[in-house]
This record gives sequence, C-alpha cells and structure tokens, in this order.
Amino acid sequence: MDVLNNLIFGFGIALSSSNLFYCFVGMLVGTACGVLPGIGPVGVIAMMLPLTFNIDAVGAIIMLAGVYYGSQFGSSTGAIMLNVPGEPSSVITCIDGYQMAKQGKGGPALAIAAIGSFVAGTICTLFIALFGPPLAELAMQFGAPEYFSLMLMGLVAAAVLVQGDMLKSISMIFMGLLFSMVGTDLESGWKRFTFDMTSLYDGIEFIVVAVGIFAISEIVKSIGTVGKGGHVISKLAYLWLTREDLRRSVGPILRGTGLGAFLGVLPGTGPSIAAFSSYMLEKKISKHPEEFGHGAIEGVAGPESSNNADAQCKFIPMLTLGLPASATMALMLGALMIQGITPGPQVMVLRPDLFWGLIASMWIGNLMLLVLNLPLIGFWVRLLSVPYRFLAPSIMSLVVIGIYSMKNEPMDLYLAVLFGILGVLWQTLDCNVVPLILGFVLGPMIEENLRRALYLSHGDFTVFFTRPISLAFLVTTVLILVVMNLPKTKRHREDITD
Amino acid sequence: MLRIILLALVMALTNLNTANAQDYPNRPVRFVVGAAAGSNTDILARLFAAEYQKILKQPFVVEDKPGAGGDIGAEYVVKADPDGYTLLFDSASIMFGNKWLYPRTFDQDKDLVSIIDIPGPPMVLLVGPELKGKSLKEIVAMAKAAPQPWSLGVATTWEAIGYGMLCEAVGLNLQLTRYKSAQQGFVELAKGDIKLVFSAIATAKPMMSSGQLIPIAVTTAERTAAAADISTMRELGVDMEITGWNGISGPRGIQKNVVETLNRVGNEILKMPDFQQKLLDMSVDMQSIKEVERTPELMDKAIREGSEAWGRMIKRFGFKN
Repeated sequence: MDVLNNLIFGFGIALSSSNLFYCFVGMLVGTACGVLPGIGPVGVIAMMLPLTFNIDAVGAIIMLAGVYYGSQFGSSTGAIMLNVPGEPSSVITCIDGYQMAKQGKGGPALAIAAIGSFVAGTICTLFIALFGPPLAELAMQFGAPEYFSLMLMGLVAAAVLVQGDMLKSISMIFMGLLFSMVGTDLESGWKRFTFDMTSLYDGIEFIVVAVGIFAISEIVKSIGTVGKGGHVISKLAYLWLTREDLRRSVGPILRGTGLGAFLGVLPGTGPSIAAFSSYMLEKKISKHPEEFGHGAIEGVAGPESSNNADAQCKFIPMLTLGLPASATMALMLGALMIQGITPGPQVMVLRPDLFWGLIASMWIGNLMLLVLNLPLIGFWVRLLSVPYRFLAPSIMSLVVIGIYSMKNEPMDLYLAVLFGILGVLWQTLDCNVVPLILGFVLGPMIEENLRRALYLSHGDFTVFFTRPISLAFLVTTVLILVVMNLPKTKRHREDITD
Repeated sequence: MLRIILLALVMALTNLNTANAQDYPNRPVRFVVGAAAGSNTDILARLFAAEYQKILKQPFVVEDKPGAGGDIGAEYVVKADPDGYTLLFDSASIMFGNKWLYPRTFDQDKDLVSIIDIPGPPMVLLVGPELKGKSLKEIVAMAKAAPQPWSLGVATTWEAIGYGMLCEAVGLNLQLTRYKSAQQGFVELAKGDIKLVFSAIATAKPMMSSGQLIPIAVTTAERTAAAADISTMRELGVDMEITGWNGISGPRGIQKNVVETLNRVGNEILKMPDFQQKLLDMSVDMQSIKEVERTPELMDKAIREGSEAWGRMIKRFGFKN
C-alpha cells in the first residue's frame, strides 16, 4: 500500500499548523475571488505571488492551490443566488441554479453545489494519488486533430440536444461563433471585426459575455417591473435538501466527476468545457429534460461537480509532466520555479513532501470549504429577501467592479452592457442562450485546432480519420447525429418542444 | 484581499497630496505590464517590484494590461500623468517589434522615457524525443531532405524572429506554426506533430528535465548560466543571436530626478547576488545587459539598435503581427 503510506505522509505535512493556515488563507481568498465576477484566480494568484517569496515551497503551493479551487467553489454562490457567474466554469450553473433560487430553492441548490464539489474533490484526490502519472500520458496523446474532433463532437451534441426550435438554436450557435471571431487571427495576424480599436485586438472575454447575458440582462429585465409583481422571487420553499433531491443528484455528481476528471487531464480544454459537457449529458439522459432551464437540480449538481473535478485534475499534467494546462497552472509553475523547484516527474522523487503534501491539502481544503459553506447557506439565502430595488444596484456595482478589474479596460464594461441588452432581446424572442455560449467557447478552439491540424498535415484532411482518438470522436459525432434523427427520438424531441 | 483593499485606500488617500519630486516616492507606484498575469514578463515585473518596494519603502504594484502585443499597456502609460507613479515594464515585443506590427497613437522614441533596462530570458531551440541524440547539423540536413517543409512552433513575435533568423542562417524553408502558449507547442513537439520549437528556457525547463523536450541550442551570444550544458547556436556553426530584453520606462515629461532615483535603485537591485539568483531560478541570466552600470542612455541605445534590427527582419520575413 504505497499510495496509502504516501497519503498518510502527505496528510502529516498538510496538517502541520503552518500549512493548515496557508491552506485556509488560500481557500478563503479564493472563495472571495470566486464570488466576484471577472476577478479570477489568475489575477489573485499573481498578486499573492510576492507574498510567497518568503515562505517555503510547500506552504506557497498549498496556499496558491487553495486560491484556485476555492475560487471554483465560490463562483457557484453568485451564479445560483444572483445570476452572476464568478468564473467561466460556473456560467452554466446560472441557468438552473438561479431558477432554483427564484423558486425559493436556493438552499438546496447551494447545498448540492457544495456537496457535489466536495464529492468530486474527494474522488479526484484519490484519483490523482492512484493514477496521476499514467493519466498524464493521456494529455500527451492529444494534438490538434484530436482536439478538433473532440470539440466538433461537443458542438454537434449541443446543437442536437438543445430543445425547442432547431433553426433558432443553430442561429444562436452561429451568433456565438461570430462573436468569438472578434480579434486578431492567430495565424495570419488579420484583425477581424475590431473596427480599428486596440481594445478589441485580443477578442471578447468569455466572462464579459456571460455576465452580460446572465447578470446584467436579469437586472435590465427587472427595470419597471420591480414592485409590480414582475420580478418575483418566491419565499423560501425549504432550506435543506430533500431525499428526492439527493436521489436525483447522485448520478449527476458521479458522472460529472468522471467527465471533469477526464477533461481536466487534457491541457487544451478550457475551464468551462467540463461543466458544459456535464450539463448536456445530464439533460440528454434525464427523464425530465423539460425541467432543464426551469430549475432542475441535476443542472446544478452535475456541472458543479464536474468543474471541481476538472480544476483538481488540471494539477496532474502540471505536477507530473511540468505541463501547465491553464494560465493559472502556468502561474503556479512559475511560483515553484521561483522557489528553485522545476516541476516534472522528478518532483515526486525529489520533493515527495511537496507532491503528497499538496494532494493531501487539496482534500483538507475541500473539506474546509464544505464545512464553511454549508452553514453560510442560511446567510446567502437571506440575501434574496433584500428588496430587489436595493439588491439590483448592488449586483450591478459588483459586476462593474469585477469586470473592470479584470483588465482595467473600459471596453469590457461597454461590451458587458451590450450583451446585457442583447440577452434581454434574445429572451424576448425566445432564443436559448446555451447554444450561443457553446459556440462562443468552442468556436475559436475548433478553428484553431482545425487550421493547425491542416497546417501540420500540409492540407491533408485524412489526418482526422487516420488518428485513432480523432476517428473515435468523429464516429461518435456521426452516431449522435444519426440517433437524434431516428424517427423515434425525433418524435420524442418534438414532444418535449410541445 | 485585505491587503489589496488597504492598498487601494492608501492610494486614494495619498492621491490628494500634490506630487513632490523631492521626496519621490511618497505613495504607491504602479508598474504596468503589457502581458497577462502569470506570464514570464509579469513574474519578472513582480520580482522587481518586490525589491523596489523594499528599498524605496513604498508599495510597488504590478498592473497587467495585456493585449495588442503589449501596446495596450504601453499606450496607457504614454497617456498617464508623468509624475513617476505610473511606469511601463517594457518587453522586447513592445519596444523592438510592435512599432512595425501595430498601428500606433504614440511614438515610442518621444513619448516614452528610458529608465533602466534589465535582463530578459534566453531562447532555446527544442526538438522532440524522436530526434534525441541528433546534432544540429544532422537535424538541419534531415529538414532539408524532408519531402514537406518541417514545422517550427512559436508563441510570440520574439520567437518568430528567432524562426526567421534560423531559416536564413542555415538556408532552410520551415513552416511557421503559431501557438497561443508555448506549452501547446510542447505537446505537439513531444508527439512528433511538429519538429522544432523556439521558446524561453524557463517555459521549457520542466519538460526538458523530464526528457520530453530535447534542447538543441540556445540563441544567446554565450552559454547561459541558466542551462550551462546547452551549446550556443554560434558554437554549432549557425550564425544567429537573439536574447530576451526588458526595461522600465516612464511617460514623456517624467522628472529627471525621478528617473535618476529609479535607475540608481534598479542598478542596486541588479547587483544583489540573491536577486540574481532569483532571476536564475526563472532562467534569466545577466548576459543581455552585460553586468555593467545601466544608464538610460544605454537603454536608449539598446532600443534603437533592437528595433532597427527587428524592423529590417520583420520586413524581410514578411511578418504581419
């Protein structure tokens, strides 16, 4: 039982008073940055970096890791209670989470988000301990053709799984693709839709779009209706989870964890993709797909577990290969290098205290988050009893501060407002925003990987079919299309639409 | 978080004081970085900021303004009050390359005042495990013999210049492949999808140590202290040299004694052995500034020479941003 011994050794390190303290501080700061939209873990960790120059490497990485998963944890609170996604990974939680809160079921939504994250965190801690290094090899199997086929599958699945008017859904995907095109083209340097404004050269930030569509449009819609019965938030239905809620959530939590763990290992997938995949999967296999979008607890449990699993498994390629899977991981790699440690396979051998201490601290941190957050639910839920005429301006200030502090760029604020207005328009026209968001997130990845794959194969399209992993995804894509167009499923879809 | 709030409060309060150049700095100073939080430049800026803060006893805050190859941050500083409290942390991309690649609203020679230039990272040419044990000559010969041009991955203009220089020096036709981050290129290099990558040593070090990336040569004039076992391009008979570069500038009109103070402290920091060690941990050696007393004039010269050389190359290689 080498792994067990190692874990015990790790807990010995993580439970030292100084490391517990660092873990706690990191997690607390992370939760705060998770609640604020725009202020992401990257910016906060960068700000905290100088503080770590004078503490030992283990404490430093434990604290910074705490910020990271704390922010994933904290971001669900704003998404559920205020329709304000704190991080890209919880954007999808807004859809059903906020509906639940509006129906007076904010308590159960927050609870299941916290429990799901904790379960995912626990499973992934074990997962990293047991299979970390072999899993990292998976990351090395994915090149441009594989990512292209994977993302294409995601986009196609999105198009067919969305209920309602097919034409509208597809139009919304294309709208998302269009918005994602803004900015400098990576390969050629061409400026697309930038109108000669330097602030658009790097494209539109996803969180700006999401905050606009969800948080701001909710406020815009409420204008003129507050106090006239237009903006209704039901009285608290019940605070705690019912047995039925739990029963419905077990599957989504476990499936979400699995999906998140798989996607987390792949460096080329963004933070939001795990949550999206889980949401789509749950909607597809649910017996009540019509409940999604109207406060289905599966739509919170799955994505929230998935994004936490993803966040934790992002450590696998960083720790075992020295390959940072995201900007946050690159920053943590930098933090280790300043401490004179080169991440990679030899870390496990040369600095077992760091490797196992960090893994143990992640579980401790997740436990702390759960213990701290569950009692806070009562407080958060009461937040909604604040009259909306006071709440709305506060949300607006939160959103504005968050978005501005992301890049100190006024253009981001204008864009958020624009998306807020567009969001209202789309809702009025009964256009679902989920396909738009998917198009926006997946579009650039599909384009980038398609072009690079073709560059590298010198224009030979067979590259997508001759590589086994890529072929498998393409075959699945075709299968999804076929299954969804079979007469039986088609009728089922139409039933749902009615 | 509390620290940040306190800082903001201090900033707001002290803003009321009129700037007095005699007791500079008497309130927090901002380093604007034209790159994203967590990038090499950002971490370098934070290392410097921490030392400036220790010596000048005022907070030095790093503010990231990424975008347009760093020009968004540069433009912000150009338009800032020249009171010495808003400074630009320059990179080679901003000061050598952007002039030729982006439409600009400012003239870097007139609108930015040099304070001190500081060392930048060395660049390394990497191959995947399949080419392990091959010499640079053999690799070049294989690339020339290949039926289709090989791909070389880069993430920034700086590395793209390295690509152009290499192609020219050995008379080779390579396909330039751009990545958003060097790490994406590393995976495809290790898989064998691309054959070559240029990157800063710091970024590649973890995967070099695990044997998934094989360093072939550094592009600095002499071997770098950050990885002394890697030969230089010149040693291997390829005539090319390019090093990273960074610097600190202020907006036009910044007072002379402010420049002097910042330059004096900057030189002091660069001479501290433990700071040099910190730089080395980030794989940055002192080579590019040649360990002499750095003056603003020397920095002006570096910018002039750097941007002229890059301008010629960007034209020759036909780069568009």
